[in-house]
Amino acid sequence: MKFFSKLLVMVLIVCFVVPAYSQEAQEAQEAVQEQEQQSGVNLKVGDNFYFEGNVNDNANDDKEESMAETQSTPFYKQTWFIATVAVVIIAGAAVGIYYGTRTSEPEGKVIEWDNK
Amino acid sequence: MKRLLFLSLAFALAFLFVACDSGNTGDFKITLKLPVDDGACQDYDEDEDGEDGTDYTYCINKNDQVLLSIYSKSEIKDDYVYADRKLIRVNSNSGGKEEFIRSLKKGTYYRFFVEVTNKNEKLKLTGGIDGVYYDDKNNYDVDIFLAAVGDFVRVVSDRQRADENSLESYFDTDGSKGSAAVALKDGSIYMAGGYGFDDDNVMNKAALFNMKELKRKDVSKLKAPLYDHIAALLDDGTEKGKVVVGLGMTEDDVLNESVWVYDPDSDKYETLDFGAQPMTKARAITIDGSVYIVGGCTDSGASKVVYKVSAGENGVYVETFANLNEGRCNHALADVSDVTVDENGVKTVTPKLLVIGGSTNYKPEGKETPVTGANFAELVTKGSSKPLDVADRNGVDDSNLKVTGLISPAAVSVVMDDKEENETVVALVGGYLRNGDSDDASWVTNPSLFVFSANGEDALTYDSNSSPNECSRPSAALLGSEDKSVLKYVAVNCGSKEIDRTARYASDQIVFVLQVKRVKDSDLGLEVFSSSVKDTLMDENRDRDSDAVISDGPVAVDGLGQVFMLGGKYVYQVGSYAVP
Repeated sequence: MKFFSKLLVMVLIVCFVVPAYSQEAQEAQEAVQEQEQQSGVNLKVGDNFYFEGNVNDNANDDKEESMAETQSTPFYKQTWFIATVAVVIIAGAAVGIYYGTRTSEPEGKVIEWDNK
Repeated sequence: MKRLLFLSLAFALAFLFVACDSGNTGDFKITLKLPVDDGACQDYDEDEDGEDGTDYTYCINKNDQVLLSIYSKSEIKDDYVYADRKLIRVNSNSGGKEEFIRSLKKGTYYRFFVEVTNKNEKLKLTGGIDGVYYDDKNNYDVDIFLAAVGDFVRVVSDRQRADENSLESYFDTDGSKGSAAVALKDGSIYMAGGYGFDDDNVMNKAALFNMKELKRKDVSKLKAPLYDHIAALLDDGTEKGKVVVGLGMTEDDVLNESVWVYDPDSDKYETLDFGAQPMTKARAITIDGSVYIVGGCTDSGASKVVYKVSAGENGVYVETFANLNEGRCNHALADVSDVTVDENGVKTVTPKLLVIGGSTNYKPEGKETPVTGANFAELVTKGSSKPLDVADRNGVDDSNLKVTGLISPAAVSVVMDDKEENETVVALVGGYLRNGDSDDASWVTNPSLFVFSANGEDALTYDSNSSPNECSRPSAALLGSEDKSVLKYVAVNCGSKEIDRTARYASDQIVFVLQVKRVKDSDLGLEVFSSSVKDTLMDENRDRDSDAVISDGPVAVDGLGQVFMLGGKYVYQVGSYAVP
């Protein structure tokens, strides 16, 4: 019975934490995408801005492409990955705790003997 | 957000661990461990009980009763007081399980004592455990080994596989001589040293037997290998107490002068430096928490000094309690103290020690010089020791004890409380004596059982009976018995009959129980004391199945009056008759 109550608590935690994180992660990803769309440089009056190399160099196209790749979310920050890890950790902890501490008997103050 | 997530996870895990810990709700499980038997318990038929010759003493069968008595105390220094009792009627031959109490009190020390009676209310098995500290934050799983009352059984944790699960000492089948043991306040047993015949060497090993789990744990070794040394409990107010251990021999003819105090909590020995001479075969006894070390043989003779070792606020200290009239070793020693209790329940102990027999040197067995004459028996009180004349009921020393002497007997003080006024007597068993005066006189093992009682202020009267078992170097202890019982019991670890122990003359572990009582002597027309060997379930008082032998071994008696026998390969227990 204790085990099932523990399991219920864990399920509730998983249900609460993972969707909450998933929503936040989605919002964060949308924010990154929005930032990418608004990419550019705002210069105040008097500021200098220098480009290195030839402005006509086609290599700059590759650089922009590379920066876009760098800004994409790595797998370990992906919602699906974190949710899976969270579930595995909690499930593992639950199983470990259950088998490591299960005390089905005795319950209360008992005296017993076996005549076999 | 990421931090919040991980905090949530950590919180969840912490919560789970707390939830998991809530499984420790103070559950308390007592498992009764039954002695080894022939597996007949399940074949029990109440209609044929005893008729087919099968002995069900070692079983808990249908229609038996299990009585669990619970005692408690809140402070370690207090005495146990009765708390509760549970009577269980057994309705199955296969086993049973019952709740014995609704709740136990947190922060309390408990003592549990179990008595099993058959349908005719004959007491079959007893066992108990002392000093269990209960805290409702933990779960408890405690074993109680049930021994046959007034008989001895090998302690086994699982009787289905008794050979592998018997509680073993550190000696093997060839046995030992000269080891020492003592029960601590929490019921565990400390054993140290001894000469092992397996490898023919003196041992520095020491072990603690946990009687709650029926396990042995080797602990810190003695500072030197020892045999024929002393070991006695020093009550310093702690949960387990301490052990005063030392003197004896480190090897043949090399005497030891060191005495140590062993602390079972820290598993360390501290040297007790009080200027003792190197000596062996001294005797030690615990009276009112202090240890008295009496005599001991030196290179040149024997010590007369009686040391008192006590625990005070500033640690352990030693003082000279008295001096014997005649120095000796290998003697019998019994506690015959005066104990009074005032109207407020305050107990006062006036220490008195009875010293009987012994020798004035430690020559090989059978070549010693026994203590004879007027100083055969001495009564030691603080600051003095006086000789006591010994004679039988006719006023003569018919057993010639003052002439032959008596070396290496065991003595146990027994309080006979069956009458209005308590009378302390001393049961004496075994030892060996010299027949003749010359150096080549023959030596014989004492064939008699004696009971000494006071005859005025300056004399002892003895009653004697013949003994079916002769023991050259026994050790003995009083078994717990009911108050006001007309019968009192002394458990004896007999060892070998052979006087010479320089060679391997060891025999099977022989244990028997003496029954001490008053009887009417029709010839004399008066009441005398009788000491006799009680009938046993074991074949000639031997454990023939053990395949282990013993020359001599120690006994240890715990706070429940249960006696443990050591020195062989296994540990044996004699069940007491009631909580003393």
